[in-house]
Order: sequence, then structure tokens, then C-alpha cells
Amino acid sequence: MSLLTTSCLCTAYSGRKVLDSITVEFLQGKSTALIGANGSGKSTLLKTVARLLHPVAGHVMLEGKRIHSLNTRVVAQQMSILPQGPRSPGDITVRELTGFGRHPFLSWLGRANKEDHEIVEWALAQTRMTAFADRAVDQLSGGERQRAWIAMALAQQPRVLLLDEPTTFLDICFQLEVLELIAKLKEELGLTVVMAMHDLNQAARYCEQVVALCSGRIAACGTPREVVTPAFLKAVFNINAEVLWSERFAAPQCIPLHPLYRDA
Amino acid sequence: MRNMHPTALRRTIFFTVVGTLLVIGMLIGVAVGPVDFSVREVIATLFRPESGLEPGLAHSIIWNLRLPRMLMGLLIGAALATAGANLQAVLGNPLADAGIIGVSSGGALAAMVLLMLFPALAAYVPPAAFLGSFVAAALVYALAWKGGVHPLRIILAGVAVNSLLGAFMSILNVLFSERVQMVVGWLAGSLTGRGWPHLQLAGPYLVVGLLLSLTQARTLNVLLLGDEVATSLGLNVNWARLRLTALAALLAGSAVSVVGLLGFVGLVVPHVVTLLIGSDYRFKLPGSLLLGGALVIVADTVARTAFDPIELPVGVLMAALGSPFFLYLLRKGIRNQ
Repeated sequence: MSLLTTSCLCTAYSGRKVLDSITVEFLQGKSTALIGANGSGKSTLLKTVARLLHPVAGHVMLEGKRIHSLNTRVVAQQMSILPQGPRSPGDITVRELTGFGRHPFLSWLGRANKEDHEIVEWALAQTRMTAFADRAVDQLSGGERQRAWIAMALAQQPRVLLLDEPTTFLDICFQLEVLELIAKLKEELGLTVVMAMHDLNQAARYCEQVVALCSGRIAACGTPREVVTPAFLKAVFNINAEVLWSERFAAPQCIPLHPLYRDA
Repeated sequence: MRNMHPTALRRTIFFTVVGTLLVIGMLIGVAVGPVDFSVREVIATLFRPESGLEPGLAHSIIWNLRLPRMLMGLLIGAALATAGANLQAVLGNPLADAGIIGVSSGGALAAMVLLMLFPALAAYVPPAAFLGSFVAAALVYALAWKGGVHPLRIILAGVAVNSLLGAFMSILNVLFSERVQMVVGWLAGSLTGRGWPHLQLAGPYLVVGLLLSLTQARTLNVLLLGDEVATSLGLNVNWARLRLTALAALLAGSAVSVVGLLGFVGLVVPHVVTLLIGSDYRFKLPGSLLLGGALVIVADTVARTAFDPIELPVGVLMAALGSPFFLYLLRKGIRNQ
């Protein structure tokens, strides 16, 4: 059975349809990039899959069960979501932030036990945040902060990790650092990763599957090699681009040339 | 090996100082007044009745007047501060307190109706105000509900309901201007004449509300991470908001029913606590509870003794002395960042 799929998923904002009948299977143990122009619906798809939005039709299936009817705590024990630019009080420590990842496993009055603490330390080690564990979140650089949030998500010990543009607001060095970390975690922990992404080359390099959205519909779905072509870039992103093959990444990389103007 | 938490020392100092202040404030609060006792006499009368003051006037002043009033002040300060801390996280707004969800104006209107239109029923002001608080809070909530509750909708619905209730209050004030005097003390927030009957009426709700609030620290911390992360962590955000707001309404409604409008505490105490020991609700909630209680006890003691024999409403005094102090802390906090 597939771990995470959507079927005929439609989402609307105050009557206006933003997603139109999205049926897709997210490959288990692989990374999937959701790409598309601004307003294409990639973020909405991610949020609907994450149960942050309710679909008007269709459903999201987690292990064959409809995610929107499952108990939210039960979902949280299997799936973690990192929204774009998450906020936290600045004075909590990295360890405390990571500790929130254990929330779905604690009962109403329950306190974290030894095992919970061990998992938090493990999550800190996985994200190389152990040395920063006692530092306040507002004393971290952008890249460190994003790693701290990933540590929190990992402390949920999820099978599925959803990230909404995890590299926005980050310098290029931190972007690579975060994407490398996510790729490493996917390999080592067998996580199923779904990311809404802006940068096509990063999507092609770091993801095995690319789902391209255009006006709320799936425009293309497949491996980066299948999807990222000059014709596709013309149709979906409105640009003329050259697509090269990178042996090093075993992935296509595109060089945008100029925008297409579709007047009249 | 874990290092010490960056604010661990400040927390220890804070709880030691506030705890000490609270105990001293309670003793002095019972000791001073038109008839002064020594702290030793107070302790003896309260804890060793056989060796304390002779039963009689002194004994009666301590047991029947000052002790219940002091306990009432403690509970009310604790309740308003806790409700404020709770709502600031639930509504994600630093200006939120129990006033914003209609509790204060609902209680005030109910009390005014009773005091001005049916003065004979003045004894029923506390239950009526309690009812008014709850009806107003429920109204705000119903208006804000639209497939879920968005904090901004609660705040806007609260502003609307508060204006509406405020209009009714103004109408009452105009039509029955000769009776305004009857409600002035209540509207300013006063503990004058509050005793065991009031404590019996509101005390259980306040104690239960406070204990329940203390169990919600983790939920409040998770809410501070934003709705999306909170949902990701398995929190049912709508249900959490409903539950926490109801708890705040219970606390503030019970407090309003006894003491009237006591603004300052709910808004400012949680901020003072945050500035001093940080935003972690596991410490902020008990911190607000203790500081709120201590503040009202101390302020009430000053209010009833400073201009003896005239008693100031405690709310007026707190606003007058507390606001400058709060501004000082605010400036200092901003400079440190």
C-alpha cells in the first residue's frame, strides 16, 4: 500500500478553486519536489496534504486512511510539517524547541520521560545542533535556526516530512546546508520527503520526483529528467531556457535565458 | 552534561522574591488598617488561636474582615493575571486580556442593570455579573466562529460586542444619572466589604480555574509556535482555543463578579513576568499567578490605608502606580535587546 497519496483533491479559498483534481502518489522513501510559478497551487497542495487546509473534494490518504478524518495526534506521530518561516518565542532554547517534537506522544498531563529526552538528543545530533542545544533561538543564524526546526520535526520521529520552501530567506550556503541535511536524513532514516520548492535546479538535484503545478492542475509529474525540459519550462514557467545534463548530480540543470512575453 | 538554562537563575530569583513578597504582603495586609496589629499577633491569631488575641473585636477584625478580603484579593489577582497570560497566547496578541473577549463589559452591564434598576437585588450582583460575563464571552465566540476560530476574528468580534455593551452602559448612565454613584466603586474595581460570602461564592470557581490553567502550560507553549506548527504537532488548534478561552472566561468572569472592573492586572502582570523570566508558560503561568495575587494584596492594603478613613478603589490605585512601573520595565527591556 502506498504511504502517501492524494486522489481528485480540490481545495478552494472562499469559493475560488485553487487546486483542481490533484491525483498523485508521493514515492515512499524518496524526495518529491512540488514546483510551479507563484500562485500555481504548490503551497496549497502541501498545506492540504499536511491537513492545514481542508479539501472541498477528494482526499489525502496516509497508509490508505483519509488524513482529514484521522485523529490529528495520530497523524502527528507519523508526519511532520515545517511551514515557511516558522516563528517561535526568541528566548526558548534549541533543546526546548526540539522537545516540542515530542508533544504528540505526551498525554494531557504527561511529562517527557527518559526515552523522550533520548530522542530529543538524537534529533539534535542528527541535525548537528548538539553544540547549540542550550542557545536561545534568537541567537542563531538563519541556517542554524532552520536546522533547529528540522530537529523539532525529527523529534516527532516521522515517516513523512513535509517542508514548505525550506530554503527561503536563507543565503546560498545555508540553502545547500539545509538541502544536504534533508537528503542525508531521507537516505539514513528512509523518510518520505515532500517539499514545495522555488529553485528548479535544486529541485532537480535533490529530488527523485518532481510534480509541477500550473493553475492548480498537475502540469507534469515524473523524474527530473522527464520533467525538466525546455518545452516544459516554456509551458509552465514562461521562460526560454537551456537544459544541461549534470553528470555530477545525475540531474538536469537549467540555465534560464529570457522570459517569454505572450502578448495577444 | 547539560548546561544551566540561560534564564534558570533569573527564574529562581524571581520566584524567591515574589514568593517572599506574597507572604509578607499577606501578613501585613491582615495586620494593618484602622486598627493595627503586630505581625506576631496576626500569626498567633491565625495559627494558634488558643494563644492569640482574646476572642472579641480584634479576633473578629482579623478573621471576619481582613483575612477573607486578603484571600479574595489573592485569588482575584491570580485569576486575572492567569487569564491574561492565557489569552495573550491563545489570541496571539500582546494587548489581549479578559476585557477583549467581552467578559468585563458583560459583567459590568449586568451589575449596572441590577444596581441601577433593581437596587433591592444588590446582593445578587456577583451571580448576575458572572452570568453577564459568560453570556458576553459566548456571544463574542459565536460571532467569531466561521468553520473555526481565527484569533483576529475573536478580537474584532470582541471589540464590536464591547462597543455595543458600552453603549447600553452609557444609556443607563444617562437615564439614571442620579444613581451613578451606586456603581462607581464597582466599576473602578474595589474589594471594599468583600468577605467570606463572596469567597464562598466565587472561590471554588477561581481555585478550580487556576488549577486547570496550570495544566495548560504545554498547550500554550505549542500555540506560541503558530497554528501550522501546532497542528503539525498534533494539537487540535480550534478545540484548544475554545477550551482555553472558556477557562479564561471562567477565571475573569468569577473575578469580575466579585470585584468589578479591575483592568491593569490581566494586561500588565503577564508582560512583567515575561520581561523578567521569559515566555515559557511552564514558568510564566505560575509566575503570573503569584505576582498577580501579590500585586492585588499589596495594592489593596495601600488603597485602604493610605488615605484613611477614605478607601480608594484598588483598581484606580493599581493603574496609577503600576503603569509608570510597567513603562519603566518596558523601556529597560527594549534597551536590553
